[in-house]
Amino acid sequence: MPPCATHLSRLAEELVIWSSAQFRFVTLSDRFSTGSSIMPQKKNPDAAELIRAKVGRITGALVALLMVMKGLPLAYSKDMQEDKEQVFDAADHLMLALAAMEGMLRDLTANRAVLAASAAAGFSTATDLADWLVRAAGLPFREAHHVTGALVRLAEETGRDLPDLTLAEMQAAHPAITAEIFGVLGVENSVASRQSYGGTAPLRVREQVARWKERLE
Amino acid sequence: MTSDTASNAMWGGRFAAGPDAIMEAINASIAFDRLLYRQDIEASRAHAAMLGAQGIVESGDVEAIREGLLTILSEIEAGELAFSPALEDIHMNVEARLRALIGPAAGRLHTARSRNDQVATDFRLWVREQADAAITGIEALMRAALAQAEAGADWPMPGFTHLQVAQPVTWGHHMLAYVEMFARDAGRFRDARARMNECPLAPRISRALPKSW
Repeated sequence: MPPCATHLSRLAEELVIWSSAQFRFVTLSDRFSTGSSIMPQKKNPDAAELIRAKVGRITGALVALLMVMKGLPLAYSKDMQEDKEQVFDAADHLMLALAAMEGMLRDLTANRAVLAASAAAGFSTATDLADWLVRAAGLPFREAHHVTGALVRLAEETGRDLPDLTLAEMQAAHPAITAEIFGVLGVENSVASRQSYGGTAPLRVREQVARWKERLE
Repeated sequence: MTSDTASNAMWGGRFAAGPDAIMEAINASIAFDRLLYRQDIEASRAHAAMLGAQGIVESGDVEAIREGLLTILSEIEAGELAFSPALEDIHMNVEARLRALIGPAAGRLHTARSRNDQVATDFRLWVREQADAAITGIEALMRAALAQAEAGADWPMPGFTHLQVAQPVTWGHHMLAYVEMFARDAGRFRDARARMNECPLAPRISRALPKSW
């Protein structure tokens, strides 16, 4: 049970972060949120927080059991009677956490526009630029990494994003760069370019969705 | 202070006095192992059938035991059976009720087994059911994540490492990562279920049975 509870806890943590005013990646439904008794504006992700915490209780049960069994000679000892309540409790809370997480996921709205705007921030396509230098200009990856790093620094220092740099600026960093490079700097292009098995290209994602749907039927 | 209960009816042959009230409080497990009543009765019915099939208990007694156990099952489910801490656990509570229902033949049910065998069997049956329930719950969660993945298969979002923006991914791609994680969890429950799906009845604590039982 602890591995499953750990995975639930990680997803719960993402929901807590994503639903914050700073991120706004997702909007949680009212059905799985609560208000504050003092601050009228608040909508708290309590279900996610409680799911995040269940791993402590469930792994605690495992540790309690391991300590009970430690040092017991064969065969039966009455110590073992202490196992029931730990296992009963862990199972109850795992089932509850699974059901709550399912409900939260079914109800939540992903804020597409916020996700897209955020995807473009932070020079997120720098790796695509470096990959282009390897693929189209024949640079060793180490050198491509270095050239790209210099361009990121230039963009950062001048308060711009990578696609806002001019071709001349790019070519000053490396003469092999052509206008073609701007084609890989957009987020959509970046995502669509990862076409190997399991990649981010929407075609590949849909393939995986279809595969899992079939397996879960 | 000793409790008012006379020495235990099930194992009290060598005892002159009943247990202290505190002894009873620390010893009794009926408060929580009552949850295992269905598995306990199911395992006892199977054990009785085995005793009959092996010619150890005659078929009339086997039938009375198996029918009596079904009666107890309905009584428990209807909330009509009062569990007694003096009877320690679910096994003794069921057996005592069986004796009240069918008389001394009830005493033959415990031939060739110990309570340790019973609880090991009951608990395995219970855990097996819980593994199935966990798999069902996980698969429902996977479907919810999959619905999100399908809706946002082409919605770009940042992929993170160190919670710093790394490379763009999509909402669908991210949700599928959880689908895969939870699929592995379901696999772990299947593995665990297969490993413990063996019947521990009849070691009678640590030895098998005499050859000519």
